[in-house]
Amino acid sequence: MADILLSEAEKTFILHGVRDNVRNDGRSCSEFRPIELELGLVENANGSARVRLANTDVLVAVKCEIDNPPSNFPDEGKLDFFVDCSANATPQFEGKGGEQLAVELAALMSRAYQTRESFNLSTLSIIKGMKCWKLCIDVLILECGGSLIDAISMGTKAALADTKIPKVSVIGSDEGTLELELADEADGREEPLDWHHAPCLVTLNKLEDSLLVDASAEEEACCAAALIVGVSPNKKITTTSIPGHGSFLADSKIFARALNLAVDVGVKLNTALEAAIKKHQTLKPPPRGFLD
Amino acid sequence: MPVDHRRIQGPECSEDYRKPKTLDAALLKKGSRRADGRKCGEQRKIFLKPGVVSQAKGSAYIELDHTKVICSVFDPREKASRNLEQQTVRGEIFCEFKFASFSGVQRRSHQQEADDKEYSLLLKNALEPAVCLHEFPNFQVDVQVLVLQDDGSSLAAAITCAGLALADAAVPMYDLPVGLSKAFSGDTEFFDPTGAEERMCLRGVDGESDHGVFTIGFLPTFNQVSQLFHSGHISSDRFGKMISEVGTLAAEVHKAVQAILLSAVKSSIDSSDNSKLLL
Amino acid sequence: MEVTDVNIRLACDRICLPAVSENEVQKLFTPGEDIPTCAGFMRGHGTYTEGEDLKASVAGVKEQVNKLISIKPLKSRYNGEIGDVVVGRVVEVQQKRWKIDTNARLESVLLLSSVNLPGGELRRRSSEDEKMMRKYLQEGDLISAEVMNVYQDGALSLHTRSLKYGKLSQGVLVKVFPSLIMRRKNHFHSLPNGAAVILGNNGFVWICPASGLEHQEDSGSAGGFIQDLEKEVPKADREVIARLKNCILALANSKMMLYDTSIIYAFEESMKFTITELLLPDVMVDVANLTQHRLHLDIAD
Repeated sequence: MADILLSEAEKTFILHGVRDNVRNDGRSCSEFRPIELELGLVENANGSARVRLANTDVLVAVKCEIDNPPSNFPDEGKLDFFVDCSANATPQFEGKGGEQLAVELAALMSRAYQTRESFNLSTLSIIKGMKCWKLCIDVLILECGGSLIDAISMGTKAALADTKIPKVSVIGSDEGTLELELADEADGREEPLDWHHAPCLVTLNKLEDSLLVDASAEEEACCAAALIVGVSPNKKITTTSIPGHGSFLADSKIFARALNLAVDVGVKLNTALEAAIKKHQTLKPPPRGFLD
Repeated sequence: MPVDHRRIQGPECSEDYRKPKTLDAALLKKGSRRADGRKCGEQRKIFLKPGVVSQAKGSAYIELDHTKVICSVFDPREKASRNLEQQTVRGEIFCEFKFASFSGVQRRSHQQEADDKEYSLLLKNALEPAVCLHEFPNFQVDVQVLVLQDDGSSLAAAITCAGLALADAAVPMYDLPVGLSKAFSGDTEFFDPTGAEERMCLRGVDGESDHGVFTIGFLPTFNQVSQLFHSGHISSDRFGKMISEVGTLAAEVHKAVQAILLSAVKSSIDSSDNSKLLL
Repeated sequence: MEVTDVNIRLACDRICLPAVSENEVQKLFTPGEDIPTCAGFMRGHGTYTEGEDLKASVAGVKEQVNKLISIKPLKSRYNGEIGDVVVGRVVEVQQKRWKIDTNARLESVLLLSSVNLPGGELRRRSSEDEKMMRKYLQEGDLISAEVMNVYQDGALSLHTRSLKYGKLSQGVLVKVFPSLIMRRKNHFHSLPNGAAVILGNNGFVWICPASGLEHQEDSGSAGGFIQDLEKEVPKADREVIARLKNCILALANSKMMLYDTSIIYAFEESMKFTITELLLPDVMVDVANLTQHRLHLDIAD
């Protein structure tokens, strides 16, 4: 996330290229760089995924815990996000450097998953009012190369797809304390989550009149403003945010164009992600991990 | 975990006996009045007062019916340098947003929680485009916001309040930022929602597909949206329309803030000697 | 606007071909390994003595020039030699000199007396010139220069006292390892496909439209530069530049040496893929292999 120095001529070149829909590396304005996905890397987690988008590397793991449901919604479970900017990513993340970014990303993810349509928390309930599942989603940023939130949202959705929650049943209550039991091997120990409606977040960078998807570090240095939109597979917007110090003209046409583009890209991203996850789950390949 | 020895810690799993107020779904019928008697497109009465905190360079207090927010702005001080190589052409705004422990139904921690930190960042993003950051390179301006009572639209109120406080502190700005929020569920849209309306629209009523709450940070003179904070479930076309509608409503709030600022400046000119001002 | 489809690959589909190797693998040394030598040796970079023995301190290939033995690592910062052509970015404007980032251990220095003044005058630099330094070169500007001198601490002193060096205008910068750039007589190449390439010895490769190099004037001249900013590069040229960039990155990925022939061959071999396909890792390895093949055929002829 360091500021990249660019000469005026380089910026002009990028700007003219974006106008012609030919960016520096030949992509069009709405094209992503190559994305790689892998599921099931972390054995100790209930579900995990790793997403590589150019040189951005993100590892997401989901762990399930039994907890008390929130008092105002007793028939729902909990979903907690935590983002860790590892010092591996850039030297700026050493110590407390990455804390602000981590807070911003975690807050954005919790907002994207806040509504029932994105993720139905009532599926996480074990006993109404007494016990529920709490999903702790931990995101580890291994390498930082632009489009962080896009990679994180993809990783989260894939990790949720990979998550298997143990089936539990109640065996009697002893003076108010409950005893829970894991289901037998025969019944099928685990069940998957309903992850299909989870949103994917898309970052749009605004460069003059054009909107860029998946901007490289040089392109980000030229852009005045950015818009992050969370898009669910049924074309609905779950969250928006304007990061940084940019601002948008409150013209309905501009906003409509940006939101429509984000929805189109988001839907395509969701479809591709679902296809890749399905392929992974059918093939069940051995983990490749970090070995090349 | 550092334990705070100055306060008596209650038992860890204690809870308030009251539940947050819920709304009657019947109020969602279009055309009907809201719980506090307003129409759907009506803003609550705003009470704004600048210069309430004597120790701060600039301050403001805003009341939107039951939502009460106070904001203080302090003099530019040297940036806590994290990265010495960073370009020092621009200054910085450092926002700290905090819900007071007694602001909601449930008692909150006296330290910043996750949503306090999130709102701090959102507030900073909303204010930054409005401030002339190049006027104080290598310095940072501290903006402290405290929500005394939260009854919905607290971030929107904070943005307006912080804008007025920055103007009161004579921090050079391009425009007065204004914060507005809107909640919608199904076909009904509530402008400037109360806490109960916000909670209902975030949850969504069963059967209604579109619902949510969004807050906008607006710069009325330039017609620019500096922050768009939304949570919910909505289609892109409808969202785009609502954003531009809110823009027109912002003009009214902007006028109110301008009038209050002008009267405050006038009264300070009247009360002090002319010679003191000319220095 | 048309939205392109997104393609997400799985890690299990990752193709890992063995690295493209040009010659037979020479003996590689690791830190702490003994280097067999004869008497009367002189030790160069990447080595240290322990008693009587000479040991390697970095992992790399042994280079021997007469009695001078040094170990050249694969990935190192750029070590400048006098006469090298480098592409660098201005990071600081100081009194009477500019600090240039050239991917070396220390920032290189471009003295005010080493640039050509606008209008090509030859005179002593006055205090007026010092104040106008920012008008010639600002922070962020890219220049092509030649190494004039190497200071004791290893910092380089650059000069642009020739018409072919100076401020660079519209184009793309690609960063590769310095050791991949072959040392040649000429580093400015005008390729037949309409683009021009400057292969800096420090690993910075500059790609620009061919017309850019033709108008290369000295770094102070403002007239020609303003024209370039307003001139739009045509779409066809832009696609050529993007393709070249991806080809160079493909070659660098497979650790192949970069020089005009290899780049031209890579460009021609890449024509069977679209420009965006060249971003995929397997296609990059493919292009590198094809280029390698063609170069071998050349040598065989």
